[in-house]
Amino acid sequence: MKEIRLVCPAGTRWLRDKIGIILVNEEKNSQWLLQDFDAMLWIYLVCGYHPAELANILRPVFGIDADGMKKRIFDMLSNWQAIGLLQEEEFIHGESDHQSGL
Amino acid sequence: MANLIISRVCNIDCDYCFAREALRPSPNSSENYVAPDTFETWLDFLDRSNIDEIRLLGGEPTHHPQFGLLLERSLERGKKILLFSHGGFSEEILGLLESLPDERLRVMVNISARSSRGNRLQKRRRITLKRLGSRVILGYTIAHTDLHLESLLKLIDRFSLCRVIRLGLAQPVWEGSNTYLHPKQYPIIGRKIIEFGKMAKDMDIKIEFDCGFVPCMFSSQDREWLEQAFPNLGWHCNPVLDLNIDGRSFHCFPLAQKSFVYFQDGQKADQIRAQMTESLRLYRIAGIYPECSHCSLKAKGNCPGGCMSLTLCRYRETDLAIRCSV
Repeated sequence: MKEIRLVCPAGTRWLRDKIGIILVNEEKNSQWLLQDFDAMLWIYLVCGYHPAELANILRPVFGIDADGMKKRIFDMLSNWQAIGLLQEEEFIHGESDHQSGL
Repeated sequence: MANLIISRVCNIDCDYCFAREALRPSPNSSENYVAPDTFETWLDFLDRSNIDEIRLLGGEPTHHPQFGLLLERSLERGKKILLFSHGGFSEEILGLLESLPDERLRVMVNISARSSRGNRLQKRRRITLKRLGSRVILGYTIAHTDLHLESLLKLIDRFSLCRVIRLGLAQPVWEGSNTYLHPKQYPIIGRKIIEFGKMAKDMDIKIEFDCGFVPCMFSSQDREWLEQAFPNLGWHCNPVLDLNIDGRSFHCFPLAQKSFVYFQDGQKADQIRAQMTESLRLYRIAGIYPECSHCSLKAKGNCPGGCMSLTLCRYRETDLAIRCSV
């Protein structure tokens, strides 16, 4: 097991719109639209909720067990990585971070 | 269209001024005004781009110490001049403007510009209106909801000014600090514009909109009336192109620090506009309201979603970081 940190590419900007969460990164010439579950999770994550904590909060809402909820969140983060919205950064111990482990 | 910014200096200080950030006066006074040689390269640019109208801006453009020379050079190229000014001219400048052929000069007097020294500007401005008459178009930048425009109509009649009023909305400067209207205030402004528009229409005075107006600031009934009464009203946000003394060409004053290129000889206006449009393309999916990305008028290209600078204010930076064990 190694610890990593997932971060948005530098310069990413976002807003909450009627159609969902719109994200833009000029340097990467990229634009993303998060809707439904993805949009909801984005809001929780930028508010500073830990993914593990989030799994506990959302578990009763979706009527699935903790492991199932964690998996759903982890799958979503993997997808965000695949589309370039998140990128992996080596986590250096002692560095400040407002999120913690899944 | 392209605006030539010939002076960084202005002697008044409007709270909504969107030029202030881009045009901070330099301690070296020669850097505050465009050099005549640079101005010539701008004229070449206008020629190359088939632009017949020269739009002179500042600061206050008439503060340029060689303003007369710049006018002369512009006329030699066969251009028409549109001067954007607060209208408080010295006797010398006024005489110069009066001497230009009627069909070659229009002066857009920003009547909403206020000086802390109040009366002097008002007095000089009235003299300008009286002497330049039909060459003057009144412009008014709306920066507050406490809006009373009726006096503009009286000014037009009293001084036989051009029967057009150009309305603008105070927009935020990207990462700036000027006063501007929040989009939530737009419907209030919309209702006041309709009341004013009805009075103007009765007096055969036309209303034009500067950039940033959006159809949804009016009720559908009011919008229908407005579009019938003033068929050329537009809902715009596009790069006019401002050529600045510092060598940059930018989208507009509010976006001067966001969307710009360094002006190079040989370029044409359309090329620069295309670059600027592209630089903001990703952000255009949104507009000034959360509903814009879902709006059929925007989807059909009938509304750009309001001012891009205002839209950019809605975007937030993110420092999201998620720690995981894998």
